[in-house]
Amino acid sequence: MSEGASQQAEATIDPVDNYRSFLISSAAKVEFCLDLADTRGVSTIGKIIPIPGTVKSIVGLTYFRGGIEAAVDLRQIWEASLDEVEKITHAVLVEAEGRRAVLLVDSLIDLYNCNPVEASSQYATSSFIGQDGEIKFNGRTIPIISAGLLLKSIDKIN
Amino acid sequence: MSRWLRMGLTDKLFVPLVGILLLSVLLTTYLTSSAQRISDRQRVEQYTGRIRAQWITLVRELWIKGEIDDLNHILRVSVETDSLLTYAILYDSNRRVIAGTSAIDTFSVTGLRLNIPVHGPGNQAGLFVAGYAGRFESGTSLGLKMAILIAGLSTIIIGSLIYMRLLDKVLLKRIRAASAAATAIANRDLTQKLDESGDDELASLAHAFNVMVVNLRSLTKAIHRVVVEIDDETAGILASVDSQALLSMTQKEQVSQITRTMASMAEISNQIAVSSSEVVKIADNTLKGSDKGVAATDDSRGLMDQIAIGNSERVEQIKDLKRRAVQIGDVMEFIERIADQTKLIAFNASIEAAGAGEMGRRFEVVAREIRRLAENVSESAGQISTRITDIQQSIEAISARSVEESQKVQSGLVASLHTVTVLHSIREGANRTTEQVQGISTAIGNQNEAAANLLNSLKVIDRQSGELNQGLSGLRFIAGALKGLSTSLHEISSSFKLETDPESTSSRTS
Repeated sequence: MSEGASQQAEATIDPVDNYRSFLISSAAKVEFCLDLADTRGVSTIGKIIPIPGTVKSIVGLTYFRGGIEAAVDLRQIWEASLDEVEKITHAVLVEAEGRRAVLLVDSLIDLYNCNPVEASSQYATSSFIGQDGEIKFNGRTIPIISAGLLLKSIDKIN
Repeated sequence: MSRWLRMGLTDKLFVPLVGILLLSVLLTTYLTSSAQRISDRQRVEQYTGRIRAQWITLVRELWIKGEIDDLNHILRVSVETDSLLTYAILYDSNRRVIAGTSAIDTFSVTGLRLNIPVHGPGNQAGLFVAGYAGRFESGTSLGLKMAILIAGLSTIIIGSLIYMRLLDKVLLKRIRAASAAATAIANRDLTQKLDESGDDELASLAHAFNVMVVNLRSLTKAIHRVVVEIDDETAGILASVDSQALLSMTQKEQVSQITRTMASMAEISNQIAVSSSEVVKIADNTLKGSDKGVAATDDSRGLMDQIAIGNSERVEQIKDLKRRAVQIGDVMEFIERIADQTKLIAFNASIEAAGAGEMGRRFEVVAREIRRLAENVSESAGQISTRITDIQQSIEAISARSVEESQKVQSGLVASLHTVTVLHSIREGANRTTEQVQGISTAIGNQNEAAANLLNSLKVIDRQSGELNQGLSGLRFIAGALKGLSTSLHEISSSFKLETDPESTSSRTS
């Protein structure tokens, strides 16, 4: 993350008021952000053991912080072009509504704190599966991916 | 008659003539002696008076002049006559003529010796008639003697005429035939033949004439054959002379051409000699340059050896630097991994801080700073890695360049060794060139000398060719003249009539 962006994010922090924190990452060159409230941790990607008969987006099981978690490939969910798929390097553990899953991402970009009003889904200009609003980060519009919606959509696809 | 015909010509002419002459002499002597006596006496009387008068006058004049100092010395005075001329001669006792006189005038015969026989006593005049001398006597009748004289003379004349006629009919006919034959031969008719009948000189002459004609005819035929051969040979000589002249001209031209070529060769040889001297100088300079080149190449080889050694050391240093750069890259990768781990830890710390709520905000700030530091470290490590990669690439390039330069230096060393070898070859070649050129110069000198001798010989040959041409021209003129002569001789020999015309032969025979 550039120094200017950090200063901008830091400038928006109000220690008194409530604010939301997002983890900005990318998958298949698509930048997205996850609410830190749903995020349990990040790590480099470990060994993934395929599980036969599961949905296509769940590529297998992987070990994460002492537990076995389902590994979700966002590229399969968003049907991203395989040519645009970069090598997956990191894993993000999310938990929402009693569900846990490891999202496979290309990179971890930055952390971003903002006003809850700013992270509104009212004027969302895109419609990713699991999207719940969007934020402005360094002049770019980045969709907010809700872990709960995302995991539910996996169930619906299944 | 037949006997007379068989007589010799001398006999034919001499015997009758002698008879006639004897007869005539006898007759004439007798008649004239008588007649002269009468006639001389009259004339002596006539002339004596004149001569005595003149004689007296002459003696007086001589006495007066002193040419006669003593009349006693005059022993004899003779008056002599010769035909109708009467003269007197005064001579001394030694018969030396003192003076003479004739009936016509006085003449001087002083000093001559008188060889005329004198008749009569001394100091007396005497008279002489041709063939008869003596004193006058009285003779027979003059008329009878004159008649006898005339008859004798007539007999002589008539006999002579008759004999001449006989000769004309018998002898002169054959002589005329011989004359005609001779004339015909003179007119180149060699077919003439005389009658050889008889035993006299004319028959011998005719036989000799016929033999002569036969021999002359054979000679003419031989001359004709020889003339034909001479004509053929002359034509051959002319053709040979022409051929020789043409050959000589060609030879002269070729000699001139060879002379010009030899002159050109001599000039070229001189140029080659000059060029050889220049080549010797160039070879000498090449030799010196080769020595300098060898020395310079040796120095260059030493320097190149030093460069090669230095370059090898630099290559090793560069390899060491490359290894160190790789080690630095490994360190930087390690730092980047630590930074990534740190960043990941910072993310997790931030996540945990967010989960901690209000209590984790301070920790979240620290986690953010740690993450920023990790990002800076990672960024710096990436930049350092990039720099190190650039340095490694530069080192690779330098190493490759050093290796290439080292190879070039090695190639330069090999090239310098080759250059030294070539320079040694050039030096050896320059030495050999000098030796060869010196040999060429010597050979050219000998060649020039030989060419000069050859040129002189060619000039002699050229001059002799000119003289030969002149000689051939003269020989051709002579051969032409000889041919003209042979042609003339051929014409002359052809003009001789050698074969008898059948018609004329038959007519002659008939």
